[in-house]
Amino acid sequence: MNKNDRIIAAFLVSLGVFSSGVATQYVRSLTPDQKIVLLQASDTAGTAVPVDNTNTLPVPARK
Amino acid sequence: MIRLRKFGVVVGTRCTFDCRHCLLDKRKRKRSLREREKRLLCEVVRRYAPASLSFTGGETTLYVDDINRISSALPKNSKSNPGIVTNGGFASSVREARRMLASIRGLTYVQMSYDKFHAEFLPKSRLENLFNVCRELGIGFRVVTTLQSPLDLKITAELGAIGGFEVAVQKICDIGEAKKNGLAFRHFVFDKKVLSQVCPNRDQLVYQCGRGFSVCCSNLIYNGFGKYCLHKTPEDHFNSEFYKRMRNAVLGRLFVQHGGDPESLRPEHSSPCALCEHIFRTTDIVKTWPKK
Repeated sequence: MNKNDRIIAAFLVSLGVFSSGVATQYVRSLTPDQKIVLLQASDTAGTAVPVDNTNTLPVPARK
Repeated sequence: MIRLRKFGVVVGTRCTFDCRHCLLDKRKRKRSLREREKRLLCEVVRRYAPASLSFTGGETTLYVDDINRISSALPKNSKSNPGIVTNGGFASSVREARRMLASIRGLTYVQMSYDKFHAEFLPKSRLENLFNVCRELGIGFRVVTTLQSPLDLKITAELGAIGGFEVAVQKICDIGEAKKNGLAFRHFVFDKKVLSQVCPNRDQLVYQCGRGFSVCCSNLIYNGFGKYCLHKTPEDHFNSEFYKRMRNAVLGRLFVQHGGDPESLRPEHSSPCALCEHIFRTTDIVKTWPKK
């Protein structure tokens, strides 16, 4: 994996989308265009956080 | 002694949108709280004074009177943070957003649902209106966005451009309209991490409008296992067989304990809620339930 692939995988893991092993497999399956989409998302998603799979209850957000 | 730190109320199931990925079956989107439920919820809130009290739906802004009545039952010295989950459809203008938020007493935060499915009904300007008014009024604000695939994360760039609010990312569960329309998150392969996970909602109690109390707010409730996990009162729920088993259960261990073979698990079992449903559906766990 190159540097961008690792960035994408880390991004997916940080958001709880996949575990690290699965994230690596997933990134390897992506087309170049798909990688660009996720790379751009990782670049601008500074405030993105994971939520538990079905947790629809908010926690008090910062005002 | 029961401590209820986080309490959520599904205050009704009517909605102003018709999202294809809704967790509610379209046919079940007509519920409102009955009078006895409102009295019960007021009593629960008064007795337990949860630190976090949140209202979800359906669309919560269709139920402002009920929300106000229940949150008004909080003790005077309560440090609770009432909040709502909303689709933001009411925020057609800054003025309308202000009017609606001002009508909800004691509101401390707003969680807005926005993703490619909500976007079919909601112009982005309404999200901006709501965010700006929350900021102006000192009300917390965040967006929850759901994923059908990781590529849907591109929306985080779009949201980041609007403002510095938090964006919470959630996979679409295989329930309700999402299940009917085949829109649940597509797991790439079976992710073994789920075997070491626990119920993600075990620390939160939810009241489901017209149905009862449970820590479950997902697959078991919506896919036919409500009789095991829904109860008439919080006390009944916390003393239930379901709660006793699930509050400390590691899902992989529970699956094996009840005769499941981890090698048989498929990609769609990769979320805790999907695995939990699979356990109830395919193992002998319900046969070991004590008879009433």
